[in-house]
Amino acid sequence: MQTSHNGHEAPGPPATQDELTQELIHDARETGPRMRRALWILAAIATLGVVAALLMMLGGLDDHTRWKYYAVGYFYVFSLVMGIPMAGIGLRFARAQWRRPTSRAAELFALAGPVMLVFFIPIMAAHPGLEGRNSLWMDWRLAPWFPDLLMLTTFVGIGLIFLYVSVLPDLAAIRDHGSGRSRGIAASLAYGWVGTAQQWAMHKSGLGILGAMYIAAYATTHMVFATDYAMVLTPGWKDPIFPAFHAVTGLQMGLGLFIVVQFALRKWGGLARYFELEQFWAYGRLLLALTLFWFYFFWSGFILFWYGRLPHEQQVLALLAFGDPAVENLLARPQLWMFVGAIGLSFITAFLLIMWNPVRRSILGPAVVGVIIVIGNFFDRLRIYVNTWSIEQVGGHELHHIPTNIGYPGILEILVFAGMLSGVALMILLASRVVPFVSLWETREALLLRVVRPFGVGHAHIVAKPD
Amino acid sequence: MANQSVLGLYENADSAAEGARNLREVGFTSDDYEVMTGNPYPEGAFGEHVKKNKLFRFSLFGAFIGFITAFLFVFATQTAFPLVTGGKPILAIPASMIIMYEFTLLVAMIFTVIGVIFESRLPRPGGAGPLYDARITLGYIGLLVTVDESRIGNAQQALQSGGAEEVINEPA
Repeated sequence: MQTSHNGHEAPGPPATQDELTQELIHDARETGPRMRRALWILAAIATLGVVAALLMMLGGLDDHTRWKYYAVGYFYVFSLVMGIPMAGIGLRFARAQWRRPTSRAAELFALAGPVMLVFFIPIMAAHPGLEGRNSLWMDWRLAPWFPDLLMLTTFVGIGLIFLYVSVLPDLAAIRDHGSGRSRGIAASLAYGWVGTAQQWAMHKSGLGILGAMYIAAYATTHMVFATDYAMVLTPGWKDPIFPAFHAVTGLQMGLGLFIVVQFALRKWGGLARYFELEQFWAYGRLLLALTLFWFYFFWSGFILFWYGRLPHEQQVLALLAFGDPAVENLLARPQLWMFVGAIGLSFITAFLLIMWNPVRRSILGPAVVGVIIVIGNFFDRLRIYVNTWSIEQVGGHELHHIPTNIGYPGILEILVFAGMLSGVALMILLASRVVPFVSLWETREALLLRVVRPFGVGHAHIVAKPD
Repeated sequence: MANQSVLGLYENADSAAEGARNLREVGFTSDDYEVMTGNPYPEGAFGEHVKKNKLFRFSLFGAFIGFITAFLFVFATQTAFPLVTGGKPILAIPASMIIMYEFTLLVAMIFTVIGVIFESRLPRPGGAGPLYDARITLGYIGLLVTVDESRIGNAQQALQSGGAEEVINEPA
């Protein structure tokens, strides 16, 4: 690495074509005993999670308040992982050249979709229904189950197909140069791809169209989930900004986790060459913008309720932020502490750190802020879902009692939560045994479009824009 | 006369462009050859003919089918259970928008995939085929010429003189 006078780490020399083949096709595909053990452990925890979810279903679906911590876990993991592919899709649309080595790792999170689909079934079944409640669905008897399942299936399907189209050229490369079982799998999935100009043109268009669909499905899925699984359960909560807040905070926490994943791949995955300062710096800037959006969307919804001061609005604020005003001891208001944790970590702490250039312009800084945001948004989803799923009241124009029956998660809920996270990690690690974490074709294309030239006393990277 | 193919392999884009130029100079047209690469190049970089992109037609057709299906579904369910809600019409468009949007997106996605597969001429039942070289996914560029067998000798010569590292003939 070269270091210039202002302390910036200059990017290392780009990999050669041979190095790319060695590192991304051969080295990264090796499944050593540690990886094998990790895969078995993740598979065991994911299985336990599914069993725990089944046991919860056998325990009864009549009382939705029993499912409050399941709802917290589900909508937290959903928000955390399903927005990550947007980092690949959105930045490809923006033609950001620096994102090339990172896009694949982001797109692989589309594999979280099937896990989310499996764990969605119990929470969907536990939904108390819309009878007597205000909803989007105008008393439609199939709602919210049918449209929500359809939306999630569409969203997951688009993500998986997008990923498949994206990896198709790399599957052909692994078919041609890989070894062992991954070569066989790649050969059967590559579908005879040979890389004609026509195929590349379709590939580019397909990624564009499917990417646009993913963005559209992301926003709508968040909208129906935020509405049907939080607002609908809360009498008097009518807030058009909340679904947008739900979607934007999903992007913030997704990007936070993605930066942490990149840090791990750099540190322990042998991919330091591909996840460099340039990527962390650029993602740090996006994280700053999304952190400001967290507050903007929160504030836009909050200020209307706070100034409005109508009884039903004050009850919603008590439910989601301040706790029951009748309880004088602030320590005894769980809602208040969840809110403090959410805004304190997701916005205040994260913003106070990521606003500084030296923090953004480092590899560790954005990763640390990413961890803080991931934790902070857990409190956010906790305050939203544990409170709304604790409400027993059906109908009415305002919430009569702020729930006090919040309690703690039981062993089954903890197992389900761990199972969801393990299931997501398992899917991604299993896929990484076949396709690399770094897109081979995109990195090769970048090599053709990028040259390092002497510039002043250092070097500059010159990037061509082909079309 | 039957068509035959020959593949010229080039180490880099400059020599492949030279090979393509040679082909055109001896009378082959851009329809006679196709380029195979391991990563995308700008369209027409080797003078090859790139067909007009029709993928969006698949997506639009799928979206149309999805929208119509959703409309009929919503119409059927709402007339089967005619509940007047809030004084709104039985077939209220705003209330049906989300479900119509979901169906539209779902079917558009399915048709887009079909379009990508169909327009890419996939799957190839025999895998990559006999006239394919694994070096293409290592950064080499292949020029695959398919012409009638009387002209195949000319094609081989043009590819070779254009700087091909190897010229591979179709197995007999």
